[in-house]
Amino acid sequence: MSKNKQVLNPEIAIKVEDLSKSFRVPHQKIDSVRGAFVNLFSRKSYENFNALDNVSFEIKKGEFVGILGHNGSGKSTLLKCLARVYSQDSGDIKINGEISPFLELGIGFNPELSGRDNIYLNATILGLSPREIEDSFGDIVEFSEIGGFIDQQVKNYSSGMRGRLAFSVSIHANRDILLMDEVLAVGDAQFQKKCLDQFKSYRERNKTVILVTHDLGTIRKHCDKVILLHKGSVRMIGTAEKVAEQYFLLNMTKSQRKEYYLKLQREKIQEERSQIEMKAKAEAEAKAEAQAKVDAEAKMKAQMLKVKEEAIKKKDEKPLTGPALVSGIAKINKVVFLDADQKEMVHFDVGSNISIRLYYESEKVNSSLSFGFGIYRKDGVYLAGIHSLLEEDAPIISVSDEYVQVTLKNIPLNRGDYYLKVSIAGDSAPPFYDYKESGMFSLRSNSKNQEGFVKLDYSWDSN
Amino acid sequence: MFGEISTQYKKYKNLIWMLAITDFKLRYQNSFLGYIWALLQPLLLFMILNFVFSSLFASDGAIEYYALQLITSLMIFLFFAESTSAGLRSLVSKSQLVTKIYVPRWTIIVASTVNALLIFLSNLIVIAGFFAWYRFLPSFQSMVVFIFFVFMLYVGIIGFSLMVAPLFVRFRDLSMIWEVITRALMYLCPILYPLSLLPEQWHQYILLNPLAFIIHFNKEALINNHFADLWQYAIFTIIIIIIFILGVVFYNSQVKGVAESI
Repeated sequence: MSKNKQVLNPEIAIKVEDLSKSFRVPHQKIDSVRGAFVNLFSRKSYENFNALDNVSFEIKKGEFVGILGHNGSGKSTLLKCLARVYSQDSGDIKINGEISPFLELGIGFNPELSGRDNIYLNATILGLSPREIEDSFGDIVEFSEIGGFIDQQVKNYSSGMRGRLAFSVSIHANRDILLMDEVLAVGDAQFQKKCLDQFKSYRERNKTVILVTHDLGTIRKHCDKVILLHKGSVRMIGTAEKVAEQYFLLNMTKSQRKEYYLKLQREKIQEERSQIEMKAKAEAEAKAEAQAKVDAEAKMKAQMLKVKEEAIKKKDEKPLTGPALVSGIAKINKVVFLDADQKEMVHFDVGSNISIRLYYESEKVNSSLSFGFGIYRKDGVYLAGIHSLLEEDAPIISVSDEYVQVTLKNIPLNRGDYYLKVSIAGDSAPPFYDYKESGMFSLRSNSKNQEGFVKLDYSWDSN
Repeated sequence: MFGEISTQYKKYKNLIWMLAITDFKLRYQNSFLGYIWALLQPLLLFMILNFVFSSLFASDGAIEYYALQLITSLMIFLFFAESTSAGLRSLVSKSQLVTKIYVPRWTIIVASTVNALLIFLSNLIVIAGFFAWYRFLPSFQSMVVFIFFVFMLYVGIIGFSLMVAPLFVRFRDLSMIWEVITRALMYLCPILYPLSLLPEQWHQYILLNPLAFIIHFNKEALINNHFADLWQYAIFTIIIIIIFILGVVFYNSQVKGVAESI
């Protein structure tokens, strides 16, 4: 025994090593002499029930430790072993500091006795000396909020008062390590809070609290560490959150658990898959973007050429449908698309801001100009158009400027390719000074949640 | 084993005392006459027995001071019966102290016998009253013997209780059996009758029973100022010590699993 007595690390409050405790449960309980006598001659049949099986753990000083487990998982047995109520079959329990030997509040409370007598009785049972009781008697009464009822019989107390009185005595039995078995199950919410507040203050004083409870809420809220017992062995030691999940799992039936595991696995696979997909997508997009840029440039050049050709053709043919052109006053030089950073590009995200900048030159000085922009779908459907003449307070555009720019905010178009027609006119339109089908831009989006070409701003609701 | 108990005693003597006092208080808590019952109960029993048996044994004046002999013997016997019965049931009746907290179990057993001791001590007043009524003053030596007997009786009671209390946890029949045995002892000890009433050759066997020895020689000492031989005291003391040691040994071997089987 003394050989085993190593000096414990002063940081450690409790060290349990390979603790085992089993109960011999006879198939028929012998609790009479006749039974024992009859049993002498019949075959003995016992069931060995391992309440605790090689349990090991360490608890540091000042920790608030929860012990969690089902009925019959051995948590009360463990607590009783710690309190020395039960003697273990094998293993070692080392305790650093004085342990409170009680597992319940109000042990020995007798309803026939007065509150005062019960304080003395209970405190003595908890190991306080008469002097200690005398010294802390006032505090005990005050904390319990019993007041004038102290000399009444406890049987006339409400259960709340009884609970407060018992708790009040127990906290004055100042021990380094506090064991509590389901105490918080009794009493109202306010009292429970008082208990827990008290436990918190224990922690601040570097005292250790070990609490057995079914209440996951309490465990989550207060415990630094939780020991999960299952069928007599330690299933897990960890943070409240992790252990609570395990506990939750243990609560389920076999098939439920299977389902849960499957679900977890499925989720995991899904996650992995989506990660891989995203990676692939990102790569593909990067590639596509590069490709698209090249394509778009080529396309644009081709378009430009086409437009130029057409323009030439139109000039030659004097088109019937085209706007009447008065040439020689102003000329469109170039149209570019800019993103929010004023960077020139042709690919935009759906819903982004697109600026269109029109470079022009004008020969007629001191004449006002007006500009029009029309957005068309690839197949020539006119989608939207703006014209500075239609604006109430259009910007004053002077001929000496180099360009005019219009910004389409949160462009409400879906993914796809679009092209633009621009025009310059004077105080009225027509006649137009210049007219140009001026290039394409495309919109992209990762989401495919909308169809058609108008981007809707929407939300789903259900009732 | 004894050393451990003596260090524990220092730590837990307050507890023993507190439990005993509480038991004593609780017993008469709600009764109208309260503590007076502690005196009245044996007195009433005495009156009935005295009424019946004094006419049987003392009508011809063959036994001097029959009432005095009966009251002292009865008080001693009631003390024995009550304390052993309380000791036997102590662990079971205070199971909360066994399963919900750690206190050495022997403190619970001893405390339950203290209650009976207190009642007995308060009953000494009644006995003294009877002696005063009869204007009878026992000799000094006989009073010393009386104190010695009470002490030895209590040692024996503790030994017995330590032995049977853990056993009772497992075999609840014991209380029934013990009830029968105490009733038998009431008639096997010379309480109601003088030992001389029995055939001479039985005496030595009857006196091997420490309770019978105490009752017989207590009567002899107080009333007749007649004492046992020294060797008789020696044998009696040895028997008591053996009971006590057996009690402690048995207690130590049995107490480990008490909380588990309660």
